[in-house]
Amino acid sequence: MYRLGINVGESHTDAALLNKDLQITQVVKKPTSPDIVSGISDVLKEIIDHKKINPKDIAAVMIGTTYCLQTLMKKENLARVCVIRIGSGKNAIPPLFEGNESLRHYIVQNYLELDGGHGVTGKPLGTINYSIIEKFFFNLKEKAEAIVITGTFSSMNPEHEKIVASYVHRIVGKEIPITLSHEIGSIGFIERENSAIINALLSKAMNQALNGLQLVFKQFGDKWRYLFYSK
Amino acid sequence: MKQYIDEKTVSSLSRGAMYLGSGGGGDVKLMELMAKRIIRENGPIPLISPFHFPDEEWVIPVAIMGSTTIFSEQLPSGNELKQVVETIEKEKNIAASGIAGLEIGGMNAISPVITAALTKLPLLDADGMGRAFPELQMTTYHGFGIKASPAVISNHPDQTHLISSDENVEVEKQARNLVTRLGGWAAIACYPMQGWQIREVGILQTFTLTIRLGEAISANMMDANAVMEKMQRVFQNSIYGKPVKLIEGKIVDLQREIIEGTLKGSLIVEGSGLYVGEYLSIFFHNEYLLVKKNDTTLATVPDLICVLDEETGYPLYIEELENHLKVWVIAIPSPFLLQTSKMLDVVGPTQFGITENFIPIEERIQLNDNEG
Repeated sequence: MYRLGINVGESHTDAALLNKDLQITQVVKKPTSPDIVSGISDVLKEIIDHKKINPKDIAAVMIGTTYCLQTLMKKENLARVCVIRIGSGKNAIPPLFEGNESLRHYIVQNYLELDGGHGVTGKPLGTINYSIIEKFFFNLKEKAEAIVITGTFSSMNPEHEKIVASYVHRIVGKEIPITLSHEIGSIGFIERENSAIINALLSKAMNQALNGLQLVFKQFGDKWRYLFYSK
Repeated sequence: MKQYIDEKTVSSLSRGAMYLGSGGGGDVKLMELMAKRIIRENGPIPLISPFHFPDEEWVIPVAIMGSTTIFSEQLPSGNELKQVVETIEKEKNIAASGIAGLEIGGMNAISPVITAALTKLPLLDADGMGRAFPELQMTTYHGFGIKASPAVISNHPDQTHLISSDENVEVEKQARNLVTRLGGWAAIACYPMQGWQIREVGILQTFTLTIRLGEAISANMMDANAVMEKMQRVFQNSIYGKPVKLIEGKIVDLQREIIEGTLKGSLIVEGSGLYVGEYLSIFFHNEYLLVKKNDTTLATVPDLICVLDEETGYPLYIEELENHLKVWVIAIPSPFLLQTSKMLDVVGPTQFGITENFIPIEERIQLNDNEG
């Protein structure tokens, strides 16, 4: 059994094949493709086709990449993000206030502020007004490609984030990805929201990359288990 | 000479205020963002010297009190700060001509800036602590006879609570209870006073000093050594004294407990380099209060004790302390006003449960040198 590690760097995609004794048996280097996927495909071809390795003998594939960082820096293929806040100080600090102009450009200008969220003890601070959500999306001029929901103390009690998410899904459809802040960060509303926004900004590029990868892996005729690391 | 606080000045002010927090005083970041946002919309805020403020005009100090963790989740709108000022004006039937600080250490260096921007009043260059302290009566305003009352508290855009009492300690007690009931934090305005009064009882020009400190250490890629050098230069020519390095080394023990919502405990730093073989214990409750080497006391409150990250020179909040972290422990001599007998009755070591008289850090060093 082998294990395959792939690193997708800015200029090159490297792969190392390890045998069951964790010894490196092969190293391959290819240029990174803009979509990262065909670069990975090239590396795989080299290892599997040229070196006559049976894909079935590869137990796991691990991929590490700076792709997300690159995507953020180049501002390529970022999703337009719509921000929903539950409970916290209305309008004190706009979403991604500290980010630079070119990133903020991807945030849908109107954002929604709802009553609700929870106190430090986990008790609700208010009730969710669903008609406001409906009205907001009805009036929304810009198209959102991803949605971020952050609720006060959601790391203590994520209930309101989840309720709002399922309601929003019903309005905008299941295809639009929703990032819930409690799955991303801990205490500190703005910090958690910022992280969730970054996650949402990348959702389009990540989705495409993962779909592409799945296709490539199918090409090699197997259902590999794989881990996708990004940094 | 008229000075203005713009977005850049806010960055410097909050950077400097972190050092004056002495391990507490709350994270400045959120306040900094709020202040920048308001300044971006309303324009820079005039910062005026107390010496140019008319005798009979009124000035109102403001702050945020309570839990900074809850504050970081339940963000304020900013309007709370404006409202508490306006409610005092109504209550006393006065019109304020300026906003002052209550606490220059930590996040409350910025709350008066936000208040000034929202009320369209100038910021007066003075505060009542010269650092961070945990209670409302731990101010020079109280120490030199100003009434905290009428004090006004709010954590809701359209709700204020009035506290009236002749006893400032009673105001603190009631305010603290109210803040807990209101959900964990609130804006407060108290100690309304006139120009001639704040000139006598305030710690003056602390905003300018904090901004200067922040500007001096604003460069990237600094370490504790470089930061200390800059700090010494800034503090030497101020109402504070020249900062003193107590040790550099590694945190080898950390005891931290949450008692009634406040952080209490101690850390031990094992010396390295010139300090190899030395161990210092630092005791804290909200702020760093006492530094001991074996049985010898090296520094106590109200002198400011800071723990700096060796790599970045950043001052570490008590929440940020971690075992194995490489740090410098330094002490900044407190402003003379805090060392007067009247103030030591309010903010001296005994007020924090330390059974020792206050000896200024400069004197202690000479004493220890003579003995050693």
